Amino acid sequence: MRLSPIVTYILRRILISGLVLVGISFIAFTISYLLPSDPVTSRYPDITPEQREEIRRQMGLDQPLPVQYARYIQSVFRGEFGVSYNTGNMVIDDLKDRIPATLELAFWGLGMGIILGIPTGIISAVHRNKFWDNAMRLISIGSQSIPGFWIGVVLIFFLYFQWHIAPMPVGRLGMSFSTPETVTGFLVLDSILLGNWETALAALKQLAMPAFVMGLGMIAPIARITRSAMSESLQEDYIIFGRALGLPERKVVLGDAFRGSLVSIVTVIGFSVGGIFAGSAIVETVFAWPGLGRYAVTAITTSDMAPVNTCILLIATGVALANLLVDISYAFIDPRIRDEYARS
Amino acid sequence: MAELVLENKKKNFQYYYVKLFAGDPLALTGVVMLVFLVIVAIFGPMMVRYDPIKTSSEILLPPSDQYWFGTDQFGRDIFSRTVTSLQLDFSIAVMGVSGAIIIGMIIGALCGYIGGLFDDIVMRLIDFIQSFPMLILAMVLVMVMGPGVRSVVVVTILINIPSYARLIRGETLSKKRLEYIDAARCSGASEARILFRHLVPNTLSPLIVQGSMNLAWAVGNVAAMSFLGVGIQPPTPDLGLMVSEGTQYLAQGCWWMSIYPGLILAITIFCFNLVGDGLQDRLDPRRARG
Amino acid sequence: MVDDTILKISGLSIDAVTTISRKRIVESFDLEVKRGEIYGVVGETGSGKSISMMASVGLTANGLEVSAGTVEFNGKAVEASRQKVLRGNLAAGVSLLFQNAKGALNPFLTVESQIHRVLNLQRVSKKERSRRVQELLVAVGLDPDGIKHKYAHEISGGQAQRVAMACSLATNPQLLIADEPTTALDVTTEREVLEFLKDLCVRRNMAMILIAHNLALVSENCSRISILHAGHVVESGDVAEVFQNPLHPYTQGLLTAIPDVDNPHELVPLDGSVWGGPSLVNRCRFSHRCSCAQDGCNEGIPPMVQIASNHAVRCLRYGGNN
Repeated sequence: MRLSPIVTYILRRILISGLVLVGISFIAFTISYLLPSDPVTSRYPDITPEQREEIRRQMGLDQPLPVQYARYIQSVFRGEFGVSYNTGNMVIDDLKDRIPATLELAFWGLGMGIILGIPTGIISAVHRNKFWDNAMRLISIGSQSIPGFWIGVVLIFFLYFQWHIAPMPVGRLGMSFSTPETVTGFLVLDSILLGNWETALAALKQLAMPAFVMGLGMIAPIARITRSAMSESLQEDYIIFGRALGLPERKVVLGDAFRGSLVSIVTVIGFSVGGIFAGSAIVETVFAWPGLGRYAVTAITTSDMAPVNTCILLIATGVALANLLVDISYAFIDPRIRDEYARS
Repeated sequence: MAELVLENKKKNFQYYYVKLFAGDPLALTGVVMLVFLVIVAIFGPMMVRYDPIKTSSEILLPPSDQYWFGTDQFGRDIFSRTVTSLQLDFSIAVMGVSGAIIIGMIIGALCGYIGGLFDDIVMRLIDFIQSFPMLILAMVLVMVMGPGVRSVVVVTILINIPSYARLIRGETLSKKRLEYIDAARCSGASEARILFRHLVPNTLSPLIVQGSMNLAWAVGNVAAMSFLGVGIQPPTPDLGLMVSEGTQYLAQGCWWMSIYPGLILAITIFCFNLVGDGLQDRLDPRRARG
Repeated sequence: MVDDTILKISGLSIDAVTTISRKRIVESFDLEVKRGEIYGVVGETGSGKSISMMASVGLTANGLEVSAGTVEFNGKAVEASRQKVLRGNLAAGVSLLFQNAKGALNPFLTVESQIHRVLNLQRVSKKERSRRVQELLVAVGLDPDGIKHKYAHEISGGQAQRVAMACSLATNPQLLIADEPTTALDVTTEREVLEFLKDLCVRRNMAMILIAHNLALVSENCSRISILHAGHVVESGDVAEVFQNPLHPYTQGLLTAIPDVDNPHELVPLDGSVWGGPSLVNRCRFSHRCSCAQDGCNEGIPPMVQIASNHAVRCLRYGGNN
């Protein structure tokens, strides 16, 4: 059976990514193993040393590292990712609601970054070193420099406490609303799908501030790369030839030059995925958003091994997946790369 | 004849950097403000009126002539704490980034020089570290090592190594071909010395750009980690910590506790980024089409 | 007979501008091309030949600014500084060809799509467009079905140049400005392409400006010629006349440097470098390399002197005071 060369390439990449993830899981496990504060004593502070030993034995915490790791891998393949000592739930259950919450933020944040970042970069490149370029650069550097946790606090103070515009930052939905039935896990979408407009609006209002703060950090890297990639692309010969053929300037810039910079832009968007996780850790803490980020932070600060492992694995998978998607997209964007893939 | 060329080169070097900034108002502003902040960071803590750690009974006072940024819940002057924290954060960032530069350069040079499997493996590792969210990585590592200033510095070094390793590796790879052949035959001086002498001036510019950006990130990262409770521990003042502590008093209207420290932090990061971005723009290979 | 002229450039001057300096690169550039003729513009790299022609169609590069001159195309005269207006001439009578043909083609589109795009500007129906694409590809000597679906990186340099030609021809130009179209090609392909271009010009009554640095090439293919040095036109006229009777010391130097199988002679290189002299403002730009330079040469720009009806030169030795 002969597969198309692109498919072969994709399968190869997935295989390599898989191996990398295995390596990551081991490192993650070792790290969480090394975390201080004994999970047992933090959960049951008033027990005797003998009882503590007994519980540790039951939990399998007295086994050497490789054995514990092996048991952990077995449980992973069974679909169990352990139990969180903080919540008392299976990590899987904890994540079920939290992942969509973070994804919702990520979607809006990345969306904002792209929608604001790309045009900013294009304008900058077209008017390079002139007024608009400097103005755009100032805005994008500014937005990148503002610490997420601080602007979040500032917004909460002014928009909620002082001017009562924003709702209380208690999470995804105000206290007077009940969570709609889960269709997709995205509250806004679910509410709309169920025709529950009030809830949808409320969810949207809750989403506004945290999504904005998330998006703020996404704009600058995207704008910067768009600017430099577009600048380079605009110097290419085919742009000049396009003009020479009488093609209108807008088509040349937004069609051809932009297409030429797309590879770089997609690459940086892929890299931003890592930033989303980092951003979510902060934004979710500030706005009490029940997502992956806050979960991970709590688990790390309390040395809750199972969630730490799983979160690291999850994040690594997300990053690897993003990189893979980026690589695959290259083939669709640029025929030259498509051929390179086919040849290798 | 050779002396003349060298003379010109040196003059051009300085002239080059001055011209670099002259054309870019953004970078210039950034540098000026940065210099100001550095002076404050170095001399400030010696000159502040109040002890940043000592508590007093003048709690939760709004900004006034006496307490420029107001006081916190323990009666400590927020301005003094901000200035002290600036010094601490700067030191951590500088130590972190310089450590990363040194180690990163060594690793990068080794990679470029040795090549082969060693290079492959190390680069893949670096690739991964770079794409992984740095904050999470930082937090986990700090927890493993125990929170505190020392861990934060170590973590900052580790996380910043990849950028420099990659930079130096690129330079080494491109120089290897040239220097290797010439140097081995002609001068007789050790290859290491020649590599070093040519490497440094060439990488100086991208190094400064990268360093600037990393300093911006490092300062922000220290504050973010402290905000989350994973970095600098109380009562040592830290901008992130102060913002975090201040959130509990927002409801009472004590905005100065969170807003001022964060503002100073934002300005600091902004300056570093201005300088880095401005430089990067000038140093990019600008090809003017003829 | 006045309508014989398709393109007339008068007094074109171009400066290189930065935030701290302004340098005059091209000065008083004059050019007159008649319908259907093949005109050569010759000069070393950096002499300003490309810059001048690009400026005349509104494609001045970043960092360059037109400071004076008029461009008259098909009887309509426009100030050279009005670049946007001049760009309107593209696809409305003027087409360009570049040296780097493969790079000139859009890497993301197939050959077919690229020609389609140009035809699209003319509001032609889809069926008609496809027919024209076939026609054009055949006209440039390519097999349409074999090359239609290929991308720029999949075809050879010679093929790419032909595809570029097809694109340029799609707008039915009356004037083709070819900027070193064959410099990147091997000698055999070069000959083919040039023969082909000449043939095209005859069949379509199209004029062509051939920009090159290769004197021999120009002498074989053009009827009239302008020679550029450091942004000044130093000599112009009929090819035969200029080659038999070179007047400007630069032209003489160039011709002496061409190896000739029939007449072997010592190849004498020219002294100095193009831009090597002191400030270039307001003087003859060749004097610093000239063996017979006089004092007057540095005191103003020597004017173009018409020696014969088909021969002009910019040199004080032949008359004209500053």
